[in-house]
Amino acid sequence: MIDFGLDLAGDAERNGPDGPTYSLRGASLVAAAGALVEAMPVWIVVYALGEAFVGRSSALRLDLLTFGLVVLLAATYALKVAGAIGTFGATYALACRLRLRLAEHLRRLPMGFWTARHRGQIGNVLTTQFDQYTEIFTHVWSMVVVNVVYPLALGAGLFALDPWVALATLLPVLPAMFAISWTLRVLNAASDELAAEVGETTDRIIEYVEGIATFRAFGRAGDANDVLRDRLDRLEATSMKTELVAAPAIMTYSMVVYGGFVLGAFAAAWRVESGGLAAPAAVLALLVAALFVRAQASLVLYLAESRFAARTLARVRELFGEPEQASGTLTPPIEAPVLEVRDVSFAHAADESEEPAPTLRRIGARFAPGTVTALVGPSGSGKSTFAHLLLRLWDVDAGVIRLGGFDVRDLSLAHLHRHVAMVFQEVVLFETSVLDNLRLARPEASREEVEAAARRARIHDVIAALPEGYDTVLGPGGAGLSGGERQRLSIARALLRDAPILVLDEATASLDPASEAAVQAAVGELMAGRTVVVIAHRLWTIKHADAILVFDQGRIVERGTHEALVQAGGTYARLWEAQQTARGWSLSA
Amino acid sequence: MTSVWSEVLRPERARLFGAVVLAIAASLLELAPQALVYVAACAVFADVGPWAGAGLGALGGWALVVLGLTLLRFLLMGGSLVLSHLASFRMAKHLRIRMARSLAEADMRFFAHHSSGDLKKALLDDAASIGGIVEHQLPDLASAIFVPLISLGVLFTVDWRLGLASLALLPLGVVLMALVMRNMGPEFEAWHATEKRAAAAILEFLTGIVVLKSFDRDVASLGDLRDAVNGVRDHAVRITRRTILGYTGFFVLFASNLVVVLPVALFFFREGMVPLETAVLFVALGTGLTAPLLKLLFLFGTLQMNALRIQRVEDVLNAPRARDVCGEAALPEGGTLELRDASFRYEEEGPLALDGVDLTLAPGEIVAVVGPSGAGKSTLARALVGGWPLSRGSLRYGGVALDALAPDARTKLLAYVGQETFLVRGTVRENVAFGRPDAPDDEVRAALEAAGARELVDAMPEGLETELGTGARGLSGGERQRLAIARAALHDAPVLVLDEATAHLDPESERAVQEGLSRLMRGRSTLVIAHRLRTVEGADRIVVLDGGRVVAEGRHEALLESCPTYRTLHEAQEKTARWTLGAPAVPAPAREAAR
Ligand SMILES: Nc1ncnc2c1ncn2[C@@H]1O[C@H](COP(=O)(O)OP(=O)(O)O)[C@@H](O)[C@H]1O
Ligand SMILES: Nc1ncnc2c1ncn2[C@@H]1O[C@H](COP(=O)(O)OP(=O)(O)O)[C@@H](O)[C@H]1O
Ligand SMILES: [Mg+2]
Repeated sequence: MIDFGLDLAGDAERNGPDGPTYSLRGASLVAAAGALVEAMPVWIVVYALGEAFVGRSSALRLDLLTFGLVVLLAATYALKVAGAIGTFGATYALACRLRLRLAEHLRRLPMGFWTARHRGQIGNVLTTQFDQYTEIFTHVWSMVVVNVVYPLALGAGLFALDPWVALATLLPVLPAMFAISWTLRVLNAASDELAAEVGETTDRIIEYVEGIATFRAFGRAGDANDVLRDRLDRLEATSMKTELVAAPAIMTYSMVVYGGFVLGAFAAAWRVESGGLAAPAAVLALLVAALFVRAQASLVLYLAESRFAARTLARVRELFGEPEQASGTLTPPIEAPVLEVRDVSFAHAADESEEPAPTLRRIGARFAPGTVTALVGPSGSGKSTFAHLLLRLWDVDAGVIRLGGFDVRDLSLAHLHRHVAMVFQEVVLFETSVLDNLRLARPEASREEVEAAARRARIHDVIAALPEGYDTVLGPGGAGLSGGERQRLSIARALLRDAPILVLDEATASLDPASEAAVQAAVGELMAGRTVVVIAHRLWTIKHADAILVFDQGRIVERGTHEALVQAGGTYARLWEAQQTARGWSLSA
Repeated sequence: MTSVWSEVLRPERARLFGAVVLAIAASLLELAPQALVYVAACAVFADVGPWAGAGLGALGGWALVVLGLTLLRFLLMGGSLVLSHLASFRMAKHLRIRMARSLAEADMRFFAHHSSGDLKKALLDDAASIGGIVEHQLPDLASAIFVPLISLGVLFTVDWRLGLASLALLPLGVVLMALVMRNMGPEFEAWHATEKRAAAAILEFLTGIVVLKSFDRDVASLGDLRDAVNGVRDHAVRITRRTILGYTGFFVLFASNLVVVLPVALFFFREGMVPLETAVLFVALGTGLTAPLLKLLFLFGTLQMNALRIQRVEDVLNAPRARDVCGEAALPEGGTLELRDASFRYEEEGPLALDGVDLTLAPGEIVAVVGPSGAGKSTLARALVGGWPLSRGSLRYGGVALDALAPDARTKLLAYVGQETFLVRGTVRENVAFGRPDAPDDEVRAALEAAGARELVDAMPEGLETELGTGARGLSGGERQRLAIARAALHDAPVLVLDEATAHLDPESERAVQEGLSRLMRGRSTLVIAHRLRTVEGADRIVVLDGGRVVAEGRHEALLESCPTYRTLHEAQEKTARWTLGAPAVPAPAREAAR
């Protein structure tokens, strides 16, 4: 009925390499035992009041009775403490392990999995929802166990008193279970509808916040934003609707359970009338029945809460179900790092609705050692996708890419990436020290090697001037560094990586001339002696490339040197011409 | 500030009161079974009272009454739920509307300290959660307090000594809890801080996943991520171990008054101090009597969590406003835009990003602003656009202070096109007619024509009615830029501010955008910020900015002669423009050097 993810838990969850281990199953058993012991005082009540009811109270050993109750209380306490330590420990360890495992799994997925929207959702699963999940799991799971076992123990006591009254009281348990599953279904359906509405509203709110300058500039902010207003009205209405739809379902369980007490009372009346049950015993039975329904009624509350955990789990399972990108196994020495692309086609997996239009069609190219090849073409023509294929961030649909004669799919990914490295247009920096950020490219690099790379990337002086030099921890996303500095850090990384083949996505963001000159010098250093494939946006920078591949709508439509292509008067010549005009453009018009 | 809350709460007062009263009534009816047990006990054992000696003959009838009361309880509960939810959802909506309003007038510097993620949280999640306080917590709180209180009242009326007995364990539980929670504050704070760190590390990991893939770095090698996630676990386990004895003790004691009540009740009965039915009543009602009080504990936890949320919402509601007064003045016809002695800083104590800048922009004039990076060019554009209040100086148009303009006149004055274009999710038409949703189709088309985007839109499957999707992701930068220009064209403002509008476009887009801009500039005053001097060589006037000050002003040739800053910029540009790939600036040292 509800997924608690028990199967994801190991037999024993370890708390760190030398921390204690906890078993969720064991802890649940202990918690159940605790609930059982917690119910035992009620049996003492039944016994003691039973004696009193038939006039034998003077024979009761109140001292023993009190002692028994205190012992049970102590035992309950001890078992609950043990159970809680076990469940909490196991759950936190489980959540921690699951989170890291999931992160690693995500890293192994092909790049096609990562769209911007996806990233946001997954980030949410791994952070907020996971916290919620642990919270709910630690507090709710043991309560569910307790709220099943405790009423059961009371039910057993009731049976001992009178089977008929017990049957009547317990009769609604079955329909009550159905009521629970119905409740959960209704709630899920309702929350699906609500989730859709919340999703829409979220999009609108984010749009409003991110575009606030534009909304304000055009007088559409605040009360003038009728789209947002409208959305908020609808959210209010949908929230109310889903609440109303679910309310009867939520109340039904409790209704049915309390119905059990009424039935039990009828049964008691009938039993007393027919002489099967003495009046004092009937009072006792009613007392236990009242305690029973009260205990049972709480169960649904905890189950309803665990719903949220179940949803997170469903998402986690779905993510674990995504197939990882298979790595090859070969790690042959690669004599001449020639990269060869043969007849390669590739389509981005389209969203369910659309047919996948191929992004690249029957591409062929050869990158000989030491050459510089430029990829040019209008935006959206497939240059970046092609570059990503060279690193096997995606896999080709047809054709083959070979490195030194080996199909890249047969090589281990690590081996491939030792030979082919990429400098991305968007620089990714982590919130850690400059040194660690650079060492990402080669963890075993010594400090001297890192500094040498930084010098060659023309960034050493900037780093040295930071408050703690190489040990300065960067702000989130490299905040505090200028665009040109970030680019040079990224180049320093590539220098450290020192792969013979380099794929370079030239940054388009504009830099002021001074930082641009520094970046250019760093790029020059980086390219020396390597095979370079560069995605170029400013055509004048690639005049001297050994070859230029011109992309258009997923095909290579032209190839050759700058001079030859300008002469040919095709796509490249047109782009060149456009850029020359754009460069020469001046305001006076 | 409190006034905002009372304004949001006041309209819901009646509903909330109703919800609370119904909730209390409903939870009292929950005790109907216990009442029946007592009545039955009286009927069997009592010597006095209404049911004395009645026997259980009427038990079936009493059961029917319990049934009726149970049905009534559900009606009351349902009513309470409906009322509280109505109030909650309305409150959340009104909070959101107020926040949206506040953001519409906030000083733009506010956004530097509040990420869009945080603001989204405040507007969506926090507002909902604060609504949730009245939705669940308030009725729950009321019944968690009133039901034990009323039960206790009944018990004390019947027998005060037994009443005391049923409370006997309470102080012990409270003392235990207090002992455990002493000094735990910093521990909890540290835990939450670690959780935050883990969340940040995970998001960072997701952002950098492609780079990590290309460097073959797995999760295990990301020390920070691993440490943070493990840290969450370790903190939580440590807190559990330190608090569990007291915490569990508290819970167990609160639910175990039977341990005291049963022996004492039996003792009293045996000594003839209370009748048997009273003993039954105390066992029936006294068991779990204080359990609802446990809910209070959870409630305080939630309220505490909400304190943070309330803080965030108040931050948004209290955001400093961009201008204190809202003027009434209409927009003068064809005036000169004048910035006098303008200074601006991003941080209260921070450096001046603009330092006594004077600038005039006559009707139809094209003025360019150039300068090294960080000179304050974008800041200057922001000062004109509005929302970034000057710390000193004045800004006038046709002699009228901009702050004195009516809000829509202020909006009409100026159009801005920057590097980044923001388009809303919606149709092409909605985007182009963003500032004038009622603009007729032919005007929209004319604006597209002017922006050089006519063909682009005609090629779309549904023309003007084509849906662009979030952020118009299907369009290239140049295409989006042209739609933004069309939007500015339809806005038809007399003053145009362009901030590096063509900086990162591919060559063909760049040309199309340039043509659009040229048409847009006709007949308007334009301030253009350019990183490429080439582009602005033909401007009527070039203003050279450095360190937030105007260092020179004039035409291209004159500045080359007279302004060293301008000359340096010019030379650096000439140099980078000649650079080509594959011709390293410095001969490369052997690759081994870096090994
Ligand atoms: N992750 C993705 N999912 C789906 N489509 C994509 C993705 N990335 C790029 N595309 C599409 O593939 C085409 C080629 O894009 P890209 O390789 O980025 O071109 P370029 O680098 O030449 O600008 C475009 O139509 C683009 O919309
Ligand atoms: N949002 C901001 N918050 C704080 N400081 C800023 C912000 N934007 C710019 N600055 C600072 O203000 C100064 C001027 O920046 P800016 O106007 O962007 O220069 P330009 O556009 O000429 O490159 C710089 O010192 C910059 O660091
Ligand atoms: Mg700028």
